[in-house]
Amino acid sequence: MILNTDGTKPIYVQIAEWLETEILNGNFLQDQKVYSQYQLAEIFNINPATAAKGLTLLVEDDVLYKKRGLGMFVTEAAQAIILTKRREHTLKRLVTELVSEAEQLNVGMDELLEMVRKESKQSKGE
Amino acid sequence: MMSLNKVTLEQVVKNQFNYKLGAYSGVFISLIILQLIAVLFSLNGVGMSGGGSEQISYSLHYYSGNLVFIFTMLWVFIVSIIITSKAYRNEDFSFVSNRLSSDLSNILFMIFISVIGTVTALLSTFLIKVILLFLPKFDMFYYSSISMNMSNFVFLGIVIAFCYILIGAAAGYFVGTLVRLSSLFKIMVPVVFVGYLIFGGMISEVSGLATVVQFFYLESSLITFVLKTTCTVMALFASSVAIFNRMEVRQ
Amino acid sequence: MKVVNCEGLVKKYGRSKALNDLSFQISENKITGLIGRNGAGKTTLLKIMAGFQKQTSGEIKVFNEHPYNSLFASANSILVDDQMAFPIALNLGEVLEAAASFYPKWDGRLARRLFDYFSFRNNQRHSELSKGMKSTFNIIVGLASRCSLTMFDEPTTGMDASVRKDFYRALLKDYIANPRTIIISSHHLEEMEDLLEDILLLKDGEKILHLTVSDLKEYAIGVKGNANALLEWLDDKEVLYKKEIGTSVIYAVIENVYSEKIRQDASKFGFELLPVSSNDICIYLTGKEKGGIDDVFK
Repeated sequence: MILNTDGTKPIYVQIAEWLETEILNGNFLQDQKVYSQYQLAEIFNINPATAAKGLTLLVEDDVLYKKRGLGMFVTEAAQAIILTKRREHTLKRLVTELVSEAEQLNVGMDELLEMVRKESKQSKGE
Repeated sequence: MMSLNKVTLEQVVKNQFNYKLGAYSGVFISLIILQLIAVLFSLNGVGMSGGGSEQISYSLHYYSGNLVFIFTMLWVFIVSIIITSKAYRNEDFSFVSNRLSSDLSNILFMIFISVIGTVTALLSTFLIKVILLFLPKFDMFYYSSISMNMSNFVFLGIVIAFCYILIGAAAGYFVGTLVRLSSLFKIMVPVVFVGYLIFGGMISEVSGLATVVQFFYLESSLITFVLKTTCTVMALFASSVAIFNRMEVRQ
Repeated sequence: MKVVNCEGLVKKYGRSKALNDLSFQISENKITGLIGRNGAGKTTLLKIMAGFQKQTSGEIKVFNEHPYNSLFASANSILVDDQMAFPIALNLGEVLEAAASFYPKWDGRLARRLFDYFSFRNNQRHSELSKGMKSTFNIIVGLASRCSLTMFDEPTTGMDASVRKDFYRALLKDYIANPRTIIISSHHLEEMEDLLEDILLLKDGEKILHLTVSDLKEYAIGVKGNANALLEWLDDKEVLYKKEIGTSVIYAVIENVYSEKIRQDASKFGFELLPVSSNDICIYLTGKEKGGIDDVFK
């Protein structure tokens, strides 16, 4: 993953989201250790303190837990939490943007829904 | 807590001296060249006299090793000024250094080159004698010495020569440091010096420089001479260290 | 322990003040960016921290010692800048040997490998190198010295883009492997922003800000909208920058205080909120009062 440096999303948030995606995809399983702040720093070419901030974010959201001296591990509820988060915040925000953009461009609700259905069919077909 | 380096002044000075031996090694080339030139000029001789009678006639040619010695003193004076220059000083601070260690390692270096300079000056005088030996035009050689004992003469010569050369080094170091204190001095020092030489004679019977030189030159006791030299050299070095201690580097 | 402790530091050159009542502290093992315009005092500050120059007044302590003439401070800190010079008689290989003799923690293997990677040759002389190559060699010495306080003053002068990238990468990797306190002063904030943990922003010898990079990014926010409505709304705000776009649109950058209220107001009045890059925030905060470059062409 390449980091988006245009400032829209803080780096540490992007790190946190990347880890969430990895967990969602099953690359990190329950009670498995995730990358340390130093490993993340090397992978993404950022300061370890920034990476640590991303990890702390996930600990606050109960996605990771910390074992002293050993590192950060995936919690039991991680998958569920991430899914909820994504649905609630991310998807909802995208929907809001979509609707507002459609309004600005004078695209009606039916036309919008048709576009969504078409896109879904296309991506499933691939 | 990260481990911090602990160093002593002794270690740093030693390190600096060692690396200066390599870094400043170019000065020895100029020493050799200068001394060879001095040898060449010395072969001209410093005087000549002659005489004769009905049966025989003779001519005396005088040669001296003084020129080599003077050139060496000049060389050490100039080298000392050079190592106090901005560029050379700043190089010390690329590594571990403080002003005192920089001065101390420089002083050690100057003592070292004074020794080398003295020894090579002595060897050069031997070189003169050897060259003269092989020149076909002379029949006999006379060595004039202060005392008839050869070994004594050589020893006295070396010690005295070394003292003079060391004074040259200390004087150069002091002048070089003083000049860096303010660019005013760059003009003032030569002007005052030359002015004193020229006009000093008008002010008092003997010019100031001559008094200074006589202070050393006329000293008959070796021990007192060495003492005078040591005190002068130490005073010059101490002043230089004190001045440099307050100066900024790498500007 | 605070590696650097600075209080009320003042440095005068003749009448002008290069540093004016500067106070800050730098904690262990952080990478701090020293940012500011030309003449802000960055180089002066670094030279005082390195013990090369002496402050006019105020206190500065490096490793709890006054850095001027301190062998302890000198043995544990190094300042890499374009004035770093080496004896002309020594070639590059000999310079590395000399460095090794001075610094107990010298990493000869790293030095050698970086040396080969950047295609230096042992028999080259420092004075013969191009500006960029000199900078590169200097940072090799700086990195390999493993000094607990490693300072860089515009280390990438003259370097081409790929070498700059390599430098930042090498710095990060060696910092992760061997943590130490690092201070980098640079004009290229946008390039090395991700590398930094903290930013110390100077203007005219004074401290403007000292905070983490993430905090800096959230320090200000850009607002774009209809001129009339926006100007009125801006009245009670701390405006850092203002610009006209087109005939009726204004773009302004304001301090991001009460960010929630700002967001509400924006959706209420139809303003667009835009993030501001750290680089731009620093530029606005250190700007002169005389207006922008566009005014020259009016």
